[in-house]
Amino acid sequence: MLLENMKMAFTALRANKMRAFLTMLGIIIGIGSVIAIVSIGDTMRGLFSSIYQDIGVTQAYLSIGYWVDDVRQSDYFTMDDLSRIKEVFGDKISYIDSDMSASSEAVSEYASLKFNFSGVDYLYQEVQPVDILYGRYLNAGDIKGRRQNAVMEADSARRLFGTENAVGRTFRAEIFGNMREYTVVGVYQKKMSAFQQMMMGSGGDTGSAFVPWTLLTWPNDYFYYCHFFADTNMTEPELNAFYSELTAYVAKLKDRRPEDFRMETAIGQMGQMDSMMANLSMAVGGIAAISLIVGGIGIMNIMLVSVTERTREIGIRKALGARTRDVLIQFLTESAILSACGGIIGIILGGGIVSLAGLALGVPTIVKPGVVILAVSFSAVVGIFFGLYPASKAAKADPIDALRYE
Amino acid sequence: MMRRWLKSSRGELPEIETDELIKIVNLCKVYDTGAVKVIGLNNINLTIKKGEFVAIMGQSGSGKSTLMNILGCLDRPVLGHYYLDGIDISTLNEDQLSRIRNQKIGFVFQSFNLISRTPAVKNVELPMTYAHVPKRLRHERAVALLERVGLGKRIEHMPNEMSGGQRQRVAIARALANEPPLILADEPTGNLDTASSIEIMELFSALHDEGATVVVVTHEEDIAAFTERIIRFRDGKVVSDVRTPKPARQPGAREGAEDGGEHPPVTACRPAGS
Repeated sequence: MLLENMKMAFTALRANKMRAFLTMLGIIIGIGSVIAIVSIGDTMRGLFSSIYQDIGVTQAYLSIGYWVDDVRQSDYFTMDDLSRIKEVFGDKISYIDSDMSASSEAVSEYASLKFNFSGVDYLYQEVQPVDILYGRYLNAGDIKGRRQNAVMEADSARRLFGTENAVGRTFRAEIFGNMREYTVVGVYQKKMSAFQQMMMGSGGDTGSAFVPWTLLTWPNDYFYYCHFFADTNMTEPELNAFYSELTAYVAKLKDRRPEDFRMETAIGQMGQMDSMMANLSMAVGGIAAISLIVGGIGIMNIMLVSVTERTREIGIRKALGARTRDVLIQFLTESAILSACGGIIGIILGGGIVSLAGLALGVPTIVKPGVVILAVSFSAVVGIFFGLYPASKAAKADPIDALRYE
Repeated sequence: MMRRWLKSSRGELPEIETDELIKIVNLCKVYDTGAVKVIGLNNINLTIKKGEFVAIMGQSGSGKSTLMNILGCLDRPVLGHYYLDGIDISTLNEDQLSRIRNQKIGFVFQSFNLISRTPAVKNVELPMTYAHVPKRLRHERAVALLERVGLGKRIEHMPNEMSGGQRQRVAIARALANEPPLILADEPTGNLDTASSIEIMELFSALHDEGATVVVVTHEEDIAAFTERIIRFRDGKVVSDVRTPKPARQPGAREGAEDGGEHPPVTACRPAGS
């Protein structure tokens, strides 16, 4: 009987193709935009999460809270603190440094260029690997001996020295007030996706290079951040437990309460960003969903017209034995099909827009099946809800009056 | 097969053995139009036996349409009782009335009332759809019925591709679909020319000869002349009830069948219980 009704509904809709299409248009646009917006949101979230994967999800920064008024010098970190932390939590920390960096003008015999020098440990290559094109990465000796060696990004090397293979070349730069001469020991290249470059910037005119972190803490040997990568094998709850454990340890070390310290974690930021994006796409999707109501009203309108036009048919059906419920179901099926068809076309449209946009931006797009199912069911519900009144009007028609209707 | 199926699906309707197909007792119908109450039917008593061929006559306003609506279970009496095939109609609810209309009555209307943009065969299938007859059986039976009324070659034609007489024959085939005990025709020739009118009345006569109970509402004397009993109404009352029996005719000897040739009588069309 359901199949029978659906067939009947399709016949009725085919009789007025243009009208059916125009009625569906509201639903098509509504569902299409909801799908497009939600999918774009999901795609963005996917991209951000992949960026966090790239920069290391276990990465975190520990520092004295900005809300603490009586900051003492002992609240800052020293190299001794870092070694102690590494000793105590060695199995859970795969990398630790002071997160110091400096901006300065580098001058070679060939050219001069503004540089961003990042102070890193030699183990940084393990947590944030780069491709070494020439020479070598920083080694333990560089770190320990505070050697004025640098590993330079290939493009920066080309601009500073006129050649990518700058191994052995020297440049002068003033870091924290000290003008020194540095030697390039290696040249690296970091691959980034088009989207990553767009989001993070390729560095623009500023060159970048790694120098031993021990260089940047010296001579005063105090720094604000303890920057570390936790072991990547930990699950999220384990990570969070470790973060609090570390905070508590450092607080004790510094004779403070744990809540005086601030732990900024990549997963925390990622979660915040993710929920912000989710909320945003929900909000915009919700606004787009309003157009579904407009589409639903369009369906109700056309169904009312249809019921009036077909009053006589309703009378005939009732005279031939259709019960109230048979007529109700017939018209409900019609409006539900109208709406569901609009929904399906809308999904194709919305999905198409997202795929095209993804193609244009060169990023893989995500259209979640859950969203699609939700959209189709929602459009069918819209059809049934807005079809209810016209259908009940049809079902309640008195057969005598309906048969007499001209 | 059809018979067995219908019996089993008819479960909710009581089966009462009676040879009185229609029995009306002290029936009144009053229309309440707000300010004035119009008496449509005033204390009618009437019995129609199975197998009768009856004309109900009267001028407009005589109450014959009101009676037609009540006989067709489209309307309910205000007072009195109407027994159709032994069932007291005045006690039934909307859905039960739908079921009665579906199973007990075959309607033929003045303006044909076929569903537009729907082929003849689908129109004939419609009452069987509401009776939940299986699809294949429904189609076979609809084709057989269209052949019976002489439209075997037009089963896929749309109503607007057919003449008035042809449309009315589709309507008659539809009326026979669920083998109802009563064929109720409301001015069946009102929109037809004389030749088509005669064809249609011949068809009713043939159905009657096969045992069907046919009630025709009309205001034309020459149409009523086809029947064997004429009941005249005036001002909501029966003013005369005359029987004019005719000799039974041979089935299949009808004239004016469109496709020509002979059509075997569809014996399954005999009303239930006969």
